[in-house]
Parts: sequence; C-alpha cells; structure tokens
Amino acid sequence: MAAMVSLALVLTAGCGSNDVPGSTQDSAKTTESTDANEQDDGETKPEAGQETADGDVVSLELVCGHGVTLPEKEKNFVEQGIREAIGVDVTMNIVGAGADYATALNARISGGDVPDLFIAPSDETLKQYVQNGIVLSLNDYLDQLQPLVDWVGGEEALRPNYINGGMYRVPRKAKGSYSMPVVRKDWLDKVGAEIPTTMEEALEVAKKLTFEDPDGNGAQDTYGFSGNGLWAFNLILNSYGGSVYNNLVLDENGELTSTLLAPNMEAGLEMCKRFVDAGVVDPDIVANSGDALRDKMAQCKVGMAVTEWASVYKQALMEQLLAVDPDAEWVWYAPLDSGTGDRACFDTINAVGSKGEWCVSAAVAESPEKLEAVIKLLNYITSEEGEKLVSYGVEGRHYNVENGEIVKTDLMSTECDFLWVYQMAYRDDGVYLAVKFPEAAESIVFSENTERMTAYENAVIAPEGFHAEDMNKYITENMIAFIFGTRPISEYSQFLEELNTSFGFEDYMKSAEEQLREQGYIE
Amino acid sequence: MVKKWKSDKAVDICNYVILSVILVICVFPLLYVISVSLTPITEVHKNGGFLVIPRAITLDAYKTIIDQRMLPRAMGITAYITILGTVINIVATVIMAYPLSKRKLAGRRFLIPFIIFPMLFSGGTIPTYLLIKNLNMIGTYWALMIPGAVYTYNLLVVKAFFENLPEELFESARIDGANEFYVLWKIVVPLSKPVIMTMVLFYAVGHWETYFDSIMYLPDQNMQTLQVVLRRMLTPNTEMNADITIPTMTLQMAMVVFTTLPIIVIYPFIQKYFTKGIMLGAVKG
Repeated sequence: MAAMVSLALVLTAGCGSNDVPGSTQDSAKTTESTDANEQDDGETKPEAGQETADGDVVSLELVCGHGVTLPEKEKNFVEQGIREAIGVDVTMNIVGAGADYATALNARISGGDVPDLFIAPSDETLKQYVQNGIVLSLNDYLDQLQPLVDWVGGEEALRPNYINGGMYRVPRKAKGSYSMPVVRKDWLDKVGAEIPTTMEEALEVAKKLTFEDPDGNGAQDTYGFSGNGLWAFNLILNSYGGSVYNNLVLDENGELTSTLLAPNMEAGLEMCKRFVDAGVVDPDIVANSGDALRDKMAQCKVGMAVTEWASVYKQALMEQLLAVDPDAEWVWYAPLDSGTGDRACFDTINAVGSKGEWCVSAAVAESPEKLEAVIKLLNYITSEEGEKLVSYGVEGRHYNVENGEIVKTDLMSTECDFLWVYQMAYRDDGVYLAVKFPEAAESIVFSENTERMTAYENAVIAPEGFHAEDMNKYITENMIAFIFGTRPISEYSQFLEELNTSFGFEDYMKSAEEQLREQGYIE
Repeated sequence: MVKKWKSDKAVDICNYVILSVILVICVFPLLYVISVSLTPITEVHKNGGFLVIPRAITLDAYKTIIDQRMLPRAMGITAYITILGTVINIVATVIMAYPLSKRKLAGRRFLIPFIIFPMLFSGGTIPTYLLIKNLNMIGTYWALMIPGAVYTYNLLVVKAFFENLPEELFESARIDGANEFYVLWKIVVPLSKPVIMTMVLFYAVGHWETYFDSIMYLPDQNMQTLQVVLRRMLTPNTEMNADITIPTMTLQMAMVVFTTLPIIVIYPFIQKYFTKGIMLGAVKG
C-alpha cells in the first residue's frame, strides 16, 4: 500500500502531469517569490520595479541572443543609468546564442511570453512573427520617435526596416565595413616583393610568400593567401564588378544589376581559380573562423590575409600577432586593379542604411505605460546623454571629456565590453571606434576610406514566394565549386539559368528594380 | 600447467599493451587541453598551436576566468542545482523503481509501457515549455530539477537491480514486522549502493552540464548556470563586431578544464561502484 502511494507521488513528477505534489509546488512558489528580478508572464501589468522606487517605474524586458556576458543586475550601470534618466526599469536578458536562441525564443513566444523588445533570430522568422501579429509596427508612432528617426538619418534610413508596409524593426544607424586586406611587409622585403596593386602582382606576391620560405625556417609551411570565409575572394571578384554574393548594384549607366550578372564575373572567377591552382590559397580559407585566421597569422603561416581592422590592429590582438615574430609587420593595402576597367574596390556598403535588429512586441501597444516607456527608451539611447551612456559608460569613471573630446580611461577597456548590446539603434561608428580603439585609429580611417561597392539589396523587399536564404545557399555552394574547380567556370551561364528556373531570380530582379525606382534610387 | 601459465602471461601482456594504447588515446587529448591551458599564448603560437608538454607555465588563463563577472555566482548556482537536483533524482528514482520491481504490484503491466513511452517519444520543446510555464516554474531553479526528476533509462536500470535482490530477504524482514518503507530504507538501499552511486554520477553529470534548460527556463541573467556563462565567454558573435575580442586558445582550453575538472575529480571515488552497478543492473534489464 505504502509503495503504491509513493509510486503515485513520483509518477506525477516523472511523467510531468499537472498534479505536482503539494509540498513541491509550495516550495517552488516560495523560491520564486524570493527571487527578486522575475520574468513577466506576458501580461501587461505593472511589476517588479514598482515596489523599489518612486511608485510608477515601468519595467521592460529586452531579450537577445548575443554572445556577451553582462554584469550582475545590481552592478549594471547602463540599466541603472537608464532608470535614473527616464524612470524605466530595463532588464536585458541574454537567451543563449545562435540556434539555441531561436529555439528558446520561439518556445517563449509560443507560450505567450513575448519579451517587450527582442531581436528576431532571422529575417524569415521575423516575417513569420509579423504574419502572426507578434511584432508591433512602429508606423503609427513615428512622430513620437522623431528624435530616433532624425538620429539614424531621417526617413530614408527607415526603408530597410519595412516588411509588408509596416516598420517592424527598430531603425538603426548605418554600419560601415571594417574589412581590409593586409600583408606581411617584413616578408615582402625578404622575398623582394612590393605591396601589390594589381591582381597579377598579387598572384606573384602570393606565390613568393608561399614558395620562397618567407619565414626562413627551411620548411614550406606558409600560405600566400588566406581569409575567414568565402567572402575573402571578394577581394578579387569585387574588382571585376562581381561578388560571391548576390549584391544589387548600379552599373555605369545607373541601371540596376546584380554582381552575379557582372560582365566580367567569369574573368573574376578565373582569377580566383588561378590563385587556387597556383597552390597559394590556404586550403581552410572557406572554413576558417575569425580566431582560426588570427591564430594562423600569429603562427606565421599566412602572408596575405583578407580580414578586418578589428581583427588585427586592436592592441590585445596586435600583441598576439607579434608574439612569435616580434618583427612581423602587418600593413593594409588598397583594393587591387583587375585590368578590366572595373573600379578597384573591396566589399560593400549599404546605400540605404542597415536593417534594424530589434523589434517591439505587439502587446506593448495594449499598455499605454509600456508603450510610453519603449518610446522613451528608444529616444533616450539616441539622445546625446543616452548615446554616451550606451557607448562609453559613465563619465568620470569610464571616460573623461577633455577639450570637448571623449577620452577613455583604463576602466573602459575592462568594464565596458558589453555596452554594445544596448546600442539598439547602433552608434556613430566613426567617433565611437576612434574613442574605443585609439591604437587602431589609422587603420579605421583607411577602412572607412576604402573603395567599396554600394549595395541596394537592403531597400528591396523580397517578392512573395521568393526564398532568399535558399537561393543564397545555392549561390554559395556553386561559388565554392567554381573557385575550387569542382564545377567548370564555362557552366556559369547555366548556373544563372538555374537561379532563374529554380529560385525565380529574374522575378526578384524585376521586383527589385520596380521598388528601387519607386523609392527614387534609380531613374 | 606450465604451458597454460605461459599463455596466461601472453594474454596479460597483450592486455597491457592494448590497454596502454587505449590509455594513451584517452589521456592524450586531455593532456593537450591541460597543457595548452597552462601555456602562455605566445608559446602556444610558437609551437604552431600544438604542444603536449608545456615549456613555460602560467596560470593567467585561469586567473582571467576566475576574475570574470558572473562566474563565481554561476559556479555556486550550478553546485546547488547539482547537489539538490541529484538528491531529488535519487529519491524519486528509488521510490519509483522499488514498487515497480515487485511482480505482485497491481497494474504493473500497464504502468511499465506508460513509463517507457516518454523515453521514446518526448513532448517536444514548446509543449514542455508550456507545461513548465503552467507549473509556474519559469524563472525558478525547480524548472531544472523537477521535470527531469526521473530519467526513464535510469529508472529501468535501478528497477532491474532491485529485481535481482533475493526475495527471501524481504520475506524475513516482513515476518519480523517491517513495513515497505522500512524494507526499502534498511534493506534495499544499503544493498543497492553500487547502482545508486552510479545513478548519482549519471544525474550529477547531467545537472553539472545543464545548458539548454537554463537558457529556456531561466531568463534572468543573475540565475544562469555555469555552462551558459562559459559558453557565452567562449563563443562570442561571429559577425563583424569591433567590440568583441575572441578569447585566445589558451583561455578556451582553460575553460574546458575548468568545467570538466569537478567531474574528473569526483569520478574516481564513484568509479568503483560504477562498473559494478551497470553490470548488475544490466543482467536482467
């Protein structure tokens, strides 16, 4: 009998029935009520923050999946600063990262726990959220959000944030490109080569850096050309007007085209293949992660690398890069001339600003206090005071203002590495980077002034039934095949045909042209 | 006789050789991880990223980890969940396995498939989330301990072990007037130390490695478990982000050691029960 009773008790726990034994349930509740910062249950009711301060503090929960470690709530000077400034109790919650984030967030949303502000895991997911009425369109609140709108660059900058006519993303300032090619100048001197300016020179340099033992260890253990990902080949392809991606660009007549349709795309792929065939390309180039490339550079295994200034010239990284060979001298260089008459350039910048990351829960609109709090928050982080808080921390502790300029203190390096998660509308990148990384200032300026392609895809909303993610995957697979010789480049026109028939590429281009014409980007 | 002795010796030598090879294969990666974690990053790079015996030793990487915000708190939380969670697991598993091991239990034939079914087909992420939510466990540590209190596979192993205990022992106890709880507590549990210790290890490792449940059910940053905090330090965003500096290889390896060390340390103490428990349970399983 006793055994039966105990069995019944435990069965409920094991099989997850709703009838959890009273004692357990009670103690669970006790613990819950003692844990101070609690989750809300999706209802728009006033909560946690209320008891603590001036009576009507509204709480907002922000959820994202960034790989960042926040300080403990009581030491989080950003959340405290926001609360002091606008009386809103903001709590940022990091819910896993990558695929884990998507799963956890979807489970929460399905369960009715929609965070007040959150980052959609992907464009496709956001579209679904929009269809299901989970996300708030900010269209009706634009006049209240005027400070934010002005700050990100006016009405025009809002365009990438529209889905089906509604602005479902919190707009953000445009993000620049940090990418740049770098080369070991000390090795160039050793093998008697100059910094390359053309494709042919680059190929010759890469050969020398591969086969002429630039590190002088007697072993052939260096690669001339490396990078982290397929995009490294854009150093070559962009100067042919092409790209490994489908970037929408304007040709010299101002007509819209895709980089995949560039007249010299095949010549560009041939040049990539010549690099591969010469044996100068790091065989892991496509698979390299950022830290794998950094480690290879530090270990003197790479002569030329396609990377970004932030992976080379930040002080902590430079120390690592010089650890093995203190004479290592990494210098950046300008995009290469292809000799085809195409403009020498590398990487893209968005003509129409960046897509926002954050979106607002539709439930927020049902509670006037929450709605007001969200508007206050978004306007605050783009105000002069708020931007300083989310960019540089606390004045006097993390930075000082000297002659009107912000100068960082040592504490900024140690205590402010998480601030960027709160930059929901991004930041003034040029000023920000110069303050945070004075040691890399020259490379930042060079990166800003590098010739880039201007891309328009952010202004285009994919037509119904067009699956950009599927097509992009197919493009990537084929680009790898063309460059590494598993598919002959002579089949390139066939490949474009496949994009039309299987993915509706032509229809996408037509729709893109119409949309850009409507917006006045093309005539 | 002499011949047999020789062949025995040959088998022994063979065994030693094979086991030594396996030992090296097992120990090597561990040694590599420990070595890299103790070596200054410059030294690691000088060796092309690969070394087994460190030439210079530094504890910098461990110091960096200990100094990380959130980490000491996460350690404490994980230890709490591991200890309390394992106690709940063991109590629940034992009191559930014991009646099920009795052939005379009414409805046993119905109960067992009912228990095995969720092992093969789980409810799925979202229904589970809804369940935990409706139980008001979101944001509490109970969400990490109660829903998984009984793991079916472990339950079956314990049940099989109990079935192997001689029935005569229980009969004599009952004749002496012992009730079922007394029998369970005074006879079954002391005799089942091997299988219980094995389950302690299984459950404790599971709790120590809690990652996804912590993400799902504990939105509060101050409540997150060790693995979540470590993973965040280890793999920051891959997208271009000037603010992030990816930790060095030395630091990554130190984190690996840091998380596995407690398990490695307790393992030898439980190991002696471990093999015995699994074998005994498996005979009738």
